[in-house]
Amino acid sequence: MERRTVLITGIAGRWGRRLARQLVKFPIIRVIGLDIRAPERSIEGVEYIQADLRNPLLVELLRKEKVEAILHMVFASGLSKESRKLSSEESFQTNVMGTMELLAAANAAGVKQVVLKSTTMIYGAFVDNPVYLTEDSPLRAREGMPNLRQRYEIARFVASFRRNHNLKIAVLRFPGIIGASGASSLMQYLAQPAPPMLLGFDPLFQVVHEADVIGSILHAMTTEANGVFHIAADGIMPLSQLIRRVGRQPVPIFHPLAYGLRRIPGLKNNPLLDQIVPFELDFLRYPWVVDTTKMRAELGYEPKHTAEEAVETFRNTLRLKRYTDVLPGRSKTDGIRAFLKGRREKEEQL
Amino acid sequence: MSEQEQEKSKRRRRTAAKNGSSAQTTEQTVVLDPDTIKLVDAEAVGPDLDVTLPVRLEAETVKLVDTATEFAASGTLPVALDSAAMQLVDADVAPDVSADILPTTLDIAAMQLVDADGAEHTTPVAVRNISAGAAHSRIDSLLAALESEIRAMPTSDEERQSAIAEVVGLIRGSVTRWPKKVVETAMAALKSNINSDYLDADFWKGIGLVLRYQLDANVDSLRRRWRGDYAVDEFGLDYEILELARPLLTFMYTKYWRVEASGLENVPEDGRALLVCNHSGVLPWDGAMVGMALQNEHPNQRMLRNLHLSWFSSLPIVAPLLSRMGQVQALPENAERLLNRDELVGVFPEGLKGVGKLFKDRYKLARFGRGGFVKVAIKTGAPIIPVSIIGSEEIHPNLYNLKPVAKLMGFPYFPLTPTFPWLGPLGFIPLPSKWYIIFGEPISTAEYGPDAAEDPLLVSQLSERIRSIIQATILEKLKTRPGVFLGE
Repeated sequence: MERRTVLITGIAGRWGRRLARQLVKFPIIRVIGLDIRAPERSIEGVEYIQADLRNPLLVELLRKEKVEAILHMVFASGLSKESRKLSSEESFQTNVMGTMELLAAANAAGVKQVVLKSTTMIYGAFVDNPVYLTEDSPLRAREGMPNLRQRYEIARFVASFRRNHNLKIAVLRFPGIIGASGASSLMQYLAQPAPPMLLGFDPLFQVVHEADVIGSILHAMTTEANGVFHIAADGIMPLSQLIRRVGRQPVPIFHPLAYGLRRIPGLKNNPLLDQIVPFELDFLRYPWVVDTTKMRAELGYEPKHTAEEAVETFRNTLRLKRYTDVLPGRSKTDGIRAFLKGRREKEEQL
Repeated sequence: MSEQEQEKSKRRRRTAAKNGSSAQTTEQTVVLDPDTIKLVDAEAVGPDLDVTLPVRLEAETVKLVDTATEFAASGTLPVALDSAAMQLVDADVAPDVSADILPTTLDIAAMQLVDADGAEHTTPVAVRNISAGAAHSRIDSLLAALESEIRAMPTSDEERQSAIAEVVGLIRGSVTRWPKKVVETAMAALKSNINSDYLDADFWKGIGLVLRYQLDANVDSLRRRWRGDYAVDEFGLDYEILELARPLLTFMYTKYWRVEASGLENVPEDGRALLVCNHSGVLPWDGAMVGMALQNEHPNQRMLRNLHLSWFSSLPIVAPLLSRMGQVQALPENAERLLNRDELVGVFPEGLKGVGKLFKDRYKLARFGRGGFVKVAIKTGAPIIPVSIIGSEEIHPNLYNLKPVAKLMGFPYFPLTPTFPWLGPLGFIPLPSKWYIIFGEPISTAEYGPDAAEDPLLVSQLSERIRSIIQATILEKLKTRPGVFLGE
């Protein structure tokens, strides 16, 4: 039986690693992982390639290895320590140019499908957003934080690429991701002892469980989906309720003060302030809830977790954190594993 | 048989009764006249014997009391809700002879009895006069009977008995000063409570338990909300918040503005509909009151989702509050989604031009936007129900719009009313005008099909038609309105 080859870009990252872990379970799938970084822990059954995505040899690799699908998980969001070190030019190169070149290479090498992960923040939080944004709503998050600008650039490129080429591109847009790992901008915000809110504003929030992020990406891959889809858990809740459900109490801040702080030149993109609210303040002020009709009707994906369950998972993780002080998923260096691995390699060499 | 024909046949019967003089048969005629059924006994001496019979639709039976003869002639008139006939039994006369069929349908609100000897009393008696005089004396006699009944009650508890009797006596004493409705309610409450144990220790223990339970429930709900353990619907409606606001809204509805809602039968029991209302009053109280009318008086207690201005969504406190109370920003996408969920959606197409209009322009409907509401209705096949609100124009008489201040503060308008801004926060208290909300007949849009939404001619025609319906209804009501503040 011919094995299908899937390339995961950004395999050293959270999403790449998790997707690989799921995919290696299927014997008919061969997984190649590509990343500029070395993986913290290697997963058995994954062939690792450490290289920059923007490499003229990429087409050759895709062609030679007969890659059928690419799960493109590279995006330097500025959340992790390493990505924060990147200059805006560097992250633009990685995020936007990288995606453009990947799509071009995939198309040239005859790859069937590419799956991209995006965010519903791309619509921007605006006072006149309808309660449910659809996939056709205009993308308005052009101003503000650089990563959203880059997402917008990618979305525009994908849309025009789609018009001219037959490559199937599934773009999955996720709202705030929540789950056990504790590593997403929303979870970072919620994990604080007293997450700030804007006084007198309480927009409706939407979340998605980590497992559904993985599940929907794999689903889009196996069904060879083409198009833009919103993936979100059922159930929306006001931000205050979300914070309370996580077991925190919100601290309302007078909004001109909060906006003013961010406008002070010295504090602009200050890592500390950005950590307190790791997204535009408008997302705490105006609605940006999306419609998920297309997810069920066209993609055929049914989320495994409701919003309530996702929030509960995260709350339980936070509770556990009180006792262990370690968020699962945020892996500490596993010394023993590295030692054993080195030892095994030595033995093999002998 | 059409209504006209029915009317004709009744006339014929009436004249037949006049001409023929069969001694014992009584012939009844039905004459349309709102609100009361008038029985005229021709055999007795004339209009003095008039009895009003307020027929409430939910009543199973109506009792007739002839005040002139002090219970000597009393009869029961069983009215079945859906039956087309009423039977009148006169106790004074031999019962089997006088049992007659009185054909009536429920929407016929008044009846006149004409006796066999041909004496006909068509003298229209003002409703108010009858109710003041006859009804009060009737209630008075009923109260007297009730009082004596209580006094004659065989009970060991002397104190309790006399206390109740005293209360009845008190009511009797002030019955002339009370409105009829109040007396009737009090009567009903008294009658059902004669045998309850107000003065029993266990009763108060029970009250204590209830209070304690309520306190527990409140503490528990606070705890739940602190934990975030509550639910909002797809558009952010939080029923618990709505319940918190309900006492105030109910007070404003029943006591303050004494809203009189009519035509509620035009609002479907379930399923989608677009309610198009006129907008006025500086602050959008009118939307809340239409919502209350549907909650309080519609048989299915339907929830109305009003669409509000985008401007409100930018205001702190106001934005989340409106959302939690089930209001949604006025965007075509939102309206469409709500209607597709089979909700009742309220729109105010006049928008700011309506709510902020000057007092001198009151009851003159502004332009109906660009007819976006019609488009949405056609697209979703929802019937449009024109709703005319009278009274809200006078709650904050906007004498002058101070545009520079409005611009400075970012408000859409800055009204100068007799109380605002001179009296500070007191200026936010609306005037207690008397309100009427009239739900008009639904205008179906399903036959056009969703594609017709893009037909600008049809859209503007429908929009204009609805506007003129509302304007006409308002003018019609203004013609008969006793006054801005008058009316119970």
